[in-house]
Amino acid sequence: MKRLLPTITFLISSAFSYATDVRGFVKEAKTGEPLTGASVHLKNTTIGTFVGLDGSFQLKGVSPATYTLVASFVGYATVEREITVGDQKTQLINFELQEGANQLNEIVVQGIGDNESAASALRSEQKADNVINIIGAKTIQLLPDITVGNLLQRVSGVSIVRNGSGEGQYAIIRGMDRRYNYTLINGIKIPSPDDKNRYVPMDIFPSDLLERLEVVKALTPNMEGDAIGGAMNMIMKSAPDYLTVSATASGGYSQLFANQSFSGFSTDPSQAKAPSEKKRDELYAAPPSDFSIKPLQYKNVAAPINSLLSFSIGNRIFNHKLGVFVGGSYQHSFRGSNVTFFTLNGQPNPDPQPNTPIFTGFQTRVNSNEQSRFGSNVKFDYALTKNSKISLLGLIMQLEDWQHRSIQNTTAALTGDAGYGDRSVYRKQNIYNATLQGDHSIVGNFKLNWSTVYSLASSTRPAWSDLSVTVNTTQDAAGNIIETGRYLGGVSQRWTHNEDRDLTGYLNLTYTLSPSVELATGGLYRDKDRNNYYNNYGFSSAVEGSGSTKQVFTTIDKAILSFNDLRGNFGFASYTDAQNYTAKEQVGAGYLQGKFNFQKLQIVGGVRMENTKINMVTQVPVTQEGRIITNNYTDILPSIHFKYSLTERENLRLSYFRGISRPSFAELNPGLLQGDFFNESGNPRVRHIVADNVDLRYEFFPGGNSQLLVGTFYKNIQDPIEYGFKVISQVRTDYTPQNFGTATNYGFELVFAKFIKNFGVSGNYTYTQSQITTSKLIISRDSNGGTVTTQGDQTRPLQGQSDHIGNLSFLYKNQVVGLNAQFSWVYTGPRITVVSPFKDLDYWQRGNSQIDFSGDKKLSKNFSLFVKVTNLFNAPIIVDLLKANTFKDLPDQNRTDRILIQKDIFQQNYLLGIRYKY
Amino acid sequence: MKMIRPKINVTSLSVLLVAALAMLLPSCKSDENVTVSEPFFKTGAAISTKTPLSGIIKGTLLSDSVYKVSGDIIIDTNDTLVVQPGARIHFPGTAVYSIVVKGTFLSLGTKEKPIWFTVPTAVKTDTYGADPTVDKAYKGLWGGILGEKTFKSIIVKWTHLEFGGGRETTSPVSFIANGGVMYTLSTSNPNGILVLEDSWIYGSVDDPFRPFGGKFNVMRNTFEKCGFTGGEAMNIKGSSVGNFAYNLVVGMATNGPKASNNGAAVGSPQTNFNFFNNTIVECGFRRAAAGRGGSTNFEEGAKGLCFNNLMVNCRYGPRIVGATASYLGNALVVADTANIKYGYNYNYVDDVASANEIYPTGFATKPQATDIPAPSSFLPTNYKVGQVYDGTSVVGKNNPLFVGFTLPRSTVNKLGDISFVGNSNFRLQTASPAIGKGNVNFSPLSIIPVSKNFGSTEITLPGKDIGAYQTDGTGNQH
Repeated sequence: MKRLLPTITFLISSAFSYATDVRGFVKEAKTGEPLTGASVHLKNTTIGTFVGLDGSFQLKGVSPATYTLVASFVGYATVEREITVGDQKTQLINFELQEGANQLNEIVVQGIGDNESAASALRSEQKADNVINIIGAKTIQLLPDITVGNLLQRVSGVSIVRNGSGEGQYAIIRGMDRRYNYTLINGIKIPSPDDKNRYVPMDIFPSDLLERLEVVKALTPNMEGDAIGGAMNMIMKSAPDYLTVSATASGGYSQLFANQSFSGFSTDPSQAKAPSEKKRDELYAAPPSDFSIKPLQYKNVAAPINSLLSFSIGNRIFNHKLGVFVGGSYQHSFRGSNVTFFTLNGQPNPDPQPNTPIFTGFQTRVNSNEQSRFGSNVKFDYALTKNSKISLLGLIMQLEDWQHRSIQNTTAALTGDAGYGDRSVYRKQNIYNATLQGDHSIVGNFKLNWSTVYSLASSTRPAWSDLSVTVNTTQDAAGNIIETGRYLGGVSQRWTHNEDRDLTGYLNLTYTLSPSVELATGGLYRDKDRNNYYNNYGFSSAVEGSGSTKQVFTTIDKAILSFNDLRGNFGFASYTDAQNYTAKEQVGAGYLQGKFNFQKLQIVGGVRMENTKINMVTQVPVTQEGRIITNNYTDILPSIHFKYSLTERENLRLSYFRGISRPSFAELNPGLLQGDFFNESGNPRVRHIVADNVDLRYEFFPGGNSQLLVGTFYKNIQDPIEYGFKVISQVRTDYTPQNFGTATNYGFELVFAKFIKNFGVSGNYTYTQSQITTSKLIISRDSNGGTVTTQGDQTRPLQGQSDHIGNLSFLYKNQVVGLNAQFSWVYTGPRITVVSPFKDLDYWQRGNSQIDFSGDKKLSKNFSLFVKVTNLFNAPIIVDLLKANTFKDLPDQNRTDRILIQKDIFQQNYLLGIRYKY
Repeated sequence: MKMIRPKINVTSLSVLLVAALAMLLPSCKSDENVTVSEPFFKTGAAISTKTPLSGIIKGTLLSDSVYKVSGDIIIDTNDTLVVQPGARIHFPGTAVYSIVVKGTFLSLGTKEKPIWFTVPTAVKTDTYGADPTVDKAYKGLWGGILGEKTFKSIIVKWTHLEFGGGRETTSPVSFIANGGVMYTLSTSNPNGILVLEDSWIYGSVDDPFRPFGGKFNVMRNTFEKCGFTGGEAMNIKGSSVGNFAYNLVVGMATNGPKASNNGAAVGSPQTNFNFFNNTIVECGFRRAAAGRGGSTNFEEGAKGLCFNNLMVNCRYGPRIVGATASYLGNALVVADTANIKYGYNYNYVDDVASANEIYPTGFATKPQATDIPAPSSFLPTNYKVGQVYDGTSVVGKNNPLFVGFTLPRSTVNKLGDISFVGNSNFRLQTASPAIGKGNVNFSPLSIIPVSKNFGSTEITLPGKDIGAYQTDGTGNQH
């Protein structure tokens, strides 16, 4: 049954050949998985081929004779078989290759061990104790994605949140927003360089450093408990068994800059620190000469070229005892977007309907982003004894970006100020990780595994510069808008940075009681130290002594920047801003886990205990509540996972786990962020989220790299944190994170892959439904015709949850000519991107389809050429308000049932490169 | 709500009558007419002048005493601080401190003995055309009198509030962020009452007065030199109700009073303000942005009325936001136009640009037949609200004839240079065309108790003469 379809296809196609075709399958002896890429040839002839995606091979037109047919694959013992070809049309020969490196023959070393192949990823999924999806390096290499942020969208049940230049940045896993997921590197949790959140921006990681990407959707007791959606685990490449060298070099181009120049800037190295930081004096009186306008001086570049380089080398030396791997990736790219942005007033109107949205105008924003991404992964492992291994892993990730946003305002009214602005933000994010790890088999059946980890995540944005220019307009007698003056509106520069340092120790002890019973215990302790720095200097548009409060603007070079402080022409650090804080967190965890095999049933279960201690110092004045915040809580997190093997190739899984999600430090910080329409503040009393999760999944691995997974899940989320209005006192209501009762999230998942000879199709689809009820404001009319503000509940999906998300890929792989090609389609259904404080005014992202293409062609033994094109059809990202449209005469407002808020256009990105492998 | 002047006239008349009778009837014994002055109002203990004021304080700041401030002052929830007539509260001017009112604050000056909150070292540069960029008025040398979310009353009478509205590194109140501007007067309690009467506000960085909710009577005050590059005499936010009347407003960066319902709290009232009988001179010239107003303004869901105001050389006439517009991130959102009544407003302008904006272009102010100059005398016949028109014909027309302020203005100074009162007298000459043109057929909001110490001295009724000064002696007493 398993191979019925390929066999039929094979029979039909072979009916048209007139010479004898030698056909068959090459599979892995132990698992029966196809060995895609294995070589099959007739010894002492030039006739040979590679094994296709479904494990099949075909040698056409073989003359009758006796041959030696050789099947070989890296990491497997070569098998030779005598065949006699007669006058029959076809001859079927199947191979099963045994693992073992000893008989490696002369064929090209194709990869770095088989952990990277799609087949291996499938096997891991099948064999895993819990619900997991995996993408291997071989698949990654073929995909159009160059960062992990983009790669994530190929995983079943995952949709991505894109950054300003259209690249995937964060994952939403089965409708659970960013906050519900965590990021691991080699199973070790890493801190975030984000200034507000715990979740890690995934666009910092180049995808070519990965051996595989795992998305774990059901936690076992030995995993950290603070994921409700799932955990993203990036397994970095490690030392291969033999010398392996690979390199790629590619160049690319963004279609966006075919029609417009890239408008970039460079930073002033002397401005890496704020004036008060340089002087180490928060009260330092900084004269204007301490500042530089260099970030606001733009240079246009026509058709800038993107470049990507990667290199890796690995080997196992000293009698195979010491494994060494060094990988590096460098990407330098120019991206951008053109955005139409309708500025929505912070408070709606009571007329004609309650909460009628009001627009104050629209902007066109042109974003020019220069990015430089560097990642390096170094790994040493050393076998002390046969039963004892230690390894040292080092990781450096750096993402620098120079973002220039140019804003052109257009007023909705006839006169006033048109105005424009520029924003230059240079940001450098880093993640460093050093892990020393040991694996020891102690006496008998005890195994010990330990890790000590240092991680640092940091982000710095020095001299973030904003410029606004006021253009006075009026109407002439004929009603035409004419400019009457151009003045400096304002210039500000800010310095922000944040550091998040983790010191973590892990210890795991496993005891194999019998072949069917394995017991494990262990735990971790993590000390986290986080600080946030924010310092803003606002310049006065009025120059002291100039006689006027207005400064005519021509160019930034001619603008005079000064301060208007009671202490003179000096700027002072805003060191008391609420965004300055320090926090410490200690997490201690322990678990007990058992794994039992009863014939076809496997049970993994146990309990985990996590204790969290927090101590935070904020900028709230000591005269008010919230200067120091401490918290201490313990969670007991049980989980149990059943896996029942219906057949050798079918599993039925049922799992339950309890997970948590901790509020970020920014969410606990009660410091006031003053807004025009409402104030925002954190909430030190917001509780962490607890969720009970149930998963049921059927898995079918029919062979030939094909698979079918069908699953359903249900999550009951207690105390979900969302933003809502909270009455701080009788008269003060702040927009603040709060716990809102109980939310539910359930859905259905389908994953399939089918490969027939050189063709493959794979896809996944996830249906999700979630519900949460939060309190919101309503602006309406009372019976006397007056305006009243009331509160009302709104039930809606969780932020970020799409009802429908899906992927569909078509692959073509021809080993003979060394050609791979793939079209990938990703669909993300409508979802809430911004939760409005006002009832029924949430921002909804429209359903979005993106199609990417990638391909590679082998040029010679060591070289191949590849091409990646993303966003083939230039799909815009559109965000709407779901209200009847009364703005139909404005640009892009072409729907009657919704009002467009934002439209981002990114255009296509092309990349052409060369890959070298030895 | 008795008129003060007529009462005095009756008394003096009766004195004359008694004197005449005394001469006619020398043998008769006259009734004695003794008046014994009351002691100044006092509560709790007297506060010594020896220790500088800082921290939690209650009791009484004594008459004719000088107090120095050395830190933020807090009047706790159930406490009262009384300031007696003639007291002087001196801020250092080198660091910014505020008075945080969680309970009750009573600054009870009198005409004879006003109270001063000032910086003694700061020198006023009150000459026309003086450079505003070096003027101490706009530097913010102390913070403000800030009504916290629990405050009950802030009563300010016959008090000078000078050089306030500065920035505090660590905000002493919950409704202003660290590093923010402390308005000279601000509140954040829709149930609190604030009375500002017969007082003077001189200078501020931004708005000298920004209420975020409360009940108000703001009458017969003088506002000078407020807002450096932006700021209105009273920038009213959501949940604020009251009167702004009989004020003399000179040289605001933007408007005199501006009302919006922005940020109205749940269960609290819509902003509703009556702007009447104000005299507003040369406002709206220090702000670079266009169209932000320069006299009075209603926007974003606010309602109220606007009558009998006298505008002199203001950059814009009374403005009502009727359609939504954007000014570089500053949203202008439609006012509650259905519930705003206005008319009887008087504009005098010396230049064409201001004449073209008596009815601001792009906005919803409807010309009223009762306005001066009469709209029919200069607007095109089929004028549509908000359209561009040529106001040349009204330049220099309808001189209101002030007692001590020459119009047309001297061309030596540019518009906006007149930002203070100085020796000017904005009372009306008897020949003034503003006399008798006011609307008296509406009522001020009476939401504040009339009380010598705990409420309004007098909620002055609408005046028949346009502007803050009435020929019958009522209105502004400065």
